[in-house]
Amino acid sequence: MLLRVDPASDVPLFEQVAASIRSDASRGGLAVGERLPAARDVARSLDVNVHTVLRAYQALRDEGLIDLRRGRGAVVTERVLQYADLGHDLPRLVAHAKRLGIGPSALSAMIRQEFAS
Amino acid sequence: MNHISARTRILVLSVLAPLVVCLAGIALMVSWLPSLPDVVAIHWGLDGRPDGYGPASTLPLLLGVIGVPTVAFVGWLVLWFEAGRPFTPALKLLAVTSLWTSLVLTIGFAGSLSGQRVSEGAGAPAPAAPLAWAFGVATCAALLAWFLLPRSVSPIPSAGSATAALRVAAGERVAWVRDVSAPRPLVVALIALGVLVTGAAATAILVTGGRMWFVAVAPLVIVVLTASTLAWRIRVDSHGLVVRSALGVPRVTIPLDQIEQAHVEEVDPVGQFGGWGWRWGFGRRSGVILRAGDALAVKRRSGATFLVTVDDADSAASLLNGLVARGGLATR
Repeated sequence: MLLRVDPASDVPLFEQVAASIRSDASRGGLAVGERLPAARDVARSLDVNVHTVLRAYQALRDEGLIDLRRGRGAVVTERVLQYADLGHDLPRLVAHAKRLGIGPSALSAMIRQEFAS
Repeated sequence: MNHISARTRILVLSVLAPLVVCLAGIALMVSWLPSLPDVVAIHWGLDGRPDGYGPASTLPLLLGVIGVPTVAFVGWLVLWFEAGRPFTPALKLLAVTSLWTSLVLTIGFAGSLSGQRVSEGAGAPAPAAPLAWAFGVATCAALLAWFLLPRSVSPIPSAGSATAALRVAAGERVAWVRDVSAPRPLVVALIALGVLVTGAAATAILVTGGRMWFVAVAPLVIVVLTASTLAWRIRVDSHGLVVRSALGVPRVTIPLDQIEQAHVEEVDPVGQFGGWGWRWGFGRRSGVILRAGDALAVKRRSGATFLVTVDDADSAASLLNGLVARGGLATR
């Protein structure tokens, strides 16, 4: 599982951690039932607070992507299949946006608009 | 020797010869039974004096029931692994072990019995003499077998050109984390081995009334070491490559400044490393080898290579090369 955070970014750290994991899911890199590494290990690797990682895990739990169980840790649910399915559309959409010279924030705004309508 | 096929030589030296040795030993000991007392010494304490007695038929029986199947099994393993694989030094060593074991057991047992034959006089001599003989003869025979066996072939690892580096920006923190555990068949085999070893030690202690309690130390160490090879946590981050057993130890850290490059290699556990777990292969290669297939391979500046069999090794190698290129500075 690849995780990237940029402390200089405006996006909160826990959001970035969650986004990394979500990205892995949409690329088909997470299997149903797979156990995510311990929050402690992730925190140490990224040099962030363990509570940051825990908050990211909780956000993903609220989305239904993972289950947080005592003793078993964070387990990927079947929802990951839906993320991967949606993820198939992403490369084409982003490539299209790049060709048109439309950047990520503009594209995100357009996507958000689409949800609202 | 070359006109005798490689497979035939392996068959003869690692299966047939050891079997013949064991069977000859059994036949010899059985032929001695009339000239042996009803009860003989079959076990000696560390001080060299007998402390276990039993019927004379015990030793040939042991050799037949334990020695023969063990030797046959090891020899068969070698043949089975040799099919379709290069004959690596690891396999060759295993082949030679079969013969070595059969000789140690047979000479050791037969030597212990031979000294107790009624015509030889009273008392059972300490087995130190036959054991030293046994080790000496077995080692000489093993060396001879090494020369008679086909030449070993060092496996040529797949081309180790560096994986394309991931672009890592100056202030970014990137990490790759993955847990990996031994495949189920291996876990079952290791648990079975642990149970066997513990059972043997427990039996030894019970049979000698607890006087050999220290015999439990080795099996305990084996069980703990084995348990530690079952599951690992692998991390690639600004610290470098960190491979840690789920139990905490053993662990390996290869800092970024010691890494020349990372790539992915195909690994054959038995052919290249002689087995599974934390292994040392020939040619300054070591690593955590839990299955065949893709492995993350890290070439250190010292020239040695460390490998870990893990899924998605490509991403890990790519990140490692990217972090090394960036200089491994963890900006805060």
